[in-house]
Amino acid sequence: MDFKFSDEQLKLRKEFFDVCKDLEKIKPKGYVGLESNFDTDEGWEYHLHCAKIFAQKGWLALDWPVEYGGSGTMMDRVFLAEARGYYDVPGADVFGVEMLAPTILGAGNDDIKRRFLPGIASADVMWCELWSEPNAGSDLASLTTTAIRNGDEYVINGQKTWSTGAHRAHWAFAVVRTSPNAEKKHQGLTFLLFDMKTPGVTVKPLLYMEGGHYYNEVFLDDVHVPVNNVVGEENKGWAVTQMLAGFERSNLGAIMCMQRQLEDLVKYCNETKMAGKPLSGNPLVRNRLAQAACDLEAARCLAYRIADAQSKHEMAPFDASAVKITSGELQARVVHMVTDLFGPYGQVKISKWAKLNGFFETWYQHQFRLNIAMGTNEIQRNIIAWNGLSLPRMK
Amino acid sequence: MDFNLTEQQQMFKNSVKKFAEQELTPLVDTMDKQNNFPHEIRPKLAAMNLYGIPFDPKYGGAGADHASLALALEEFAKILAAMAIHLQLQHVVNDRFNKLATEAQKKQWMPAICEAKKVGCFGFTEPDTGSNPKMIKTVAKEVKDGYIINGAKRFITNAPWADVMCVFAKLEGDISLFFVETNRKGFSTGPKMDKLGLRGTDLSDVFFEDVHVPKDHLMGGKGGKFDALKDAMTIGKLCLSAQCVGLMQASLEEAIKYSMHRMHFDEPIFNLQAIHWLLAEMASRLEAARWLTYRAAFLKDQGQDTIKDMAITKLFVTSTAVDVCRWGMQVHGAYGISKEYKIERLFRDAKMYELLEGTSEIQRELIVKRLPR
Repeated sequence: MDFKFSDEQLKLRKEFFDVCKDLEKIKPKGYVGLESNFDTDEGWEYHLHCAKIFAQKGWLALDWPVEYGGSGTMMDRVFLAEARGYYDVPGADVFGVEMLAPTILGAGNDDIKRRFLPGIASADVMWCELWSEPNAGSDLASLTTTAIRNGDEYVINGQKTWSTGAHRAHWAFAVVRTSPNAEKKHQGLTFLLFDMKTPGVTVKPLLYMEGGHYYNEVFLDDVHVPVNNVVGEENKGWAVTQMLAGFERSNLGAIMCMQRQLEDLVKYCNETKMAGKPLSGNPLVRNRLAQAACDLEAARCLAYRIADAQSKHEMAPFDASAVKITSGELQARVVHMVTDLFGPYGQVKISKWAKLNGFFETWYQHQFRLNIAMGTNEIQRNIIAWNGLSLPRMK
Repeated sequence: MDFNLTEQQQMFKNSVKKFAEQELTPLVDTMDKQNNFPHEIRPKLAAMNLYGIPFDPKYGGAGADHASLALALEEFAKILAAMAIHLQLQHVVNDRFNKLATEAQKKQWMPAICEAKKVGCFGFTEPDTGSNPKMIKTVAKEVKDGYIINGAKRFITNAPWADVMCVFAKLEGDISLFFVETNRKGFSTGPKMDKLGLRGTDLSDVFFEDVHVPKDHLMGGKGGKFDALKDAMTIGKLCLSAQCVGLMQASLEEAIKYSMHRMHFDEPIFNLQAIHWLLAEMASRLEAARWLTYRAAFLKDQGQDTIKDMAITKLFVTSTAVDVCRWGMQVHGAYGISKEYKIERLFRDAKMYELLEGTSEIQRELIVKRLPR
């Protein structure tokens, strides 16, 4: 075992942090969390600006094979995620860079790699995910959107929902049913890519609880997609979705985001007086801050272990579930702690009264999605019970 | 012991339930989405005598008990918690007049508030102190014909359009209570705050710049009004707890309704054990919170309520409401965060109750200091 980073790793990690620190300085007012990319034009422009800077440095393709522009390792990618999480800086398209690219590298043919990886590496093409449907969320295999083959094309019909950033994205990756009569619902699914400007694609907003526009419903009416846009094989898309799902849940960026929150909070408690004394002198406050620090360190160790396993292709099927639950539920506890410490000021939206720029009033609402998206924590616990503890499989 | 509601209480609860469903449901968007208070509801609240539930009829009240007040707030919060907060504030203000004002002042203000002709607000929180009222900086100075008040108050519900304010200020080094007509020279309010939950309740800062009030506006004599504050907070805590019971009931009902209709794995998610556990936990916590709240109302009506009892009730019920509404959202999955479903509003509103009338941390301190040793 070796819990230290090499000097070379530390140097690169510092470079990531330095660049993100500079990018933080030009962050638009009210930008809270990576999903702010999608809500406002300013947020989206900021995301594109950061993405271009990362692309110019070759950082969006760090751990790819050299022939596709790769120059580093999986851990290097983790370091960049940490730096972005810490400074709450976007720029790495979560769907293109974080999810689709490693999936294409793992399951795509040479043609797919040649056509789609360069746009991701250069930040010229932004992606969205079209998976969930009104009646297929955690039970994704129940999806009913069909793609019927017609010569060299599929004709897609159906409805997708909870599609983050679909109103901004250039392209989409979707999972659709190409064989409606397959014996089992996991069979007959296909993973394919298409341009969001394709005729028949209609995007409508699904507003978040605070009114933000991050999510969408996407209606697909006779959308024609070339068959050579399939990743993997026709009717074997479930395995591709599972591969991609593993890439979704490494979560070190989210953990570093919490690290920054805790540091900001400690600073606030040192600088803020209540009843004439610094908040940091209050035993209750100190106790809760210390507990959060312990929990965060445990979550960080777990996430590093999983990143290490992922880089060595040794990840257990339930590892991603464990870190998702750990970091998502810790974030909920941290936010509740902060709103407790802020008292009524924790309820005030961004304004002169708000503490720490009103970040936590917004984040109180945003953190909830962490324990819902990409498979609810109930589903994750089922996966751990089944895959990790060998308990009987539930439905 | 008798855990049943009286026939009168049950009838009252039923009538408020019907009223809330009919009259408050259409106001949800105005308050929550537009963050505005719908003033047109006030005469209807007065017609039901909901502003005066526990007060003597000779002052415009309904002569009912605090259990009835709790039941009304519970029913209101099931539909629109922000309106319940408005109702609560009128009771807290009227309760100050009832306990500390002269007979003439009671007759001047209490019927007017009960009849929705006047609106009250109540202020002790300040920019530099919230849960520790001994730190307040608002001061009153005695002059020949009254008092001059200077200072600022924060998070004052109803302040932008209230007619009268009960305000705590330090007079000769001790806490006193005054009532101040809001049209007096030097009284002003800041811009309306936008906030997480309980939206539409119109919250703002209040500023006093050499505000002059006559001698008779000092309520209950000079000093010693820390006790009046604690008394106001005990009824406030009962009111908040009752509203949390309503929020939890609504959350459970929404979660059950959603889980019965949401199909996953070829059957309603209601059939999944993971959902059973969430619903069972919600129902259990709700029942414990409900009876703790009703007991607090009973103690209030018996004159046996204590700071400890109310702090225990407020701590348990408000923190439980946050959990129960969060679990209700979890049952809804991704749809829980959508504006299309009621549960997200319940979740946002629930958090507010933990912060009002003293945070949970303050309640713990109040409780520990009063544990038998």
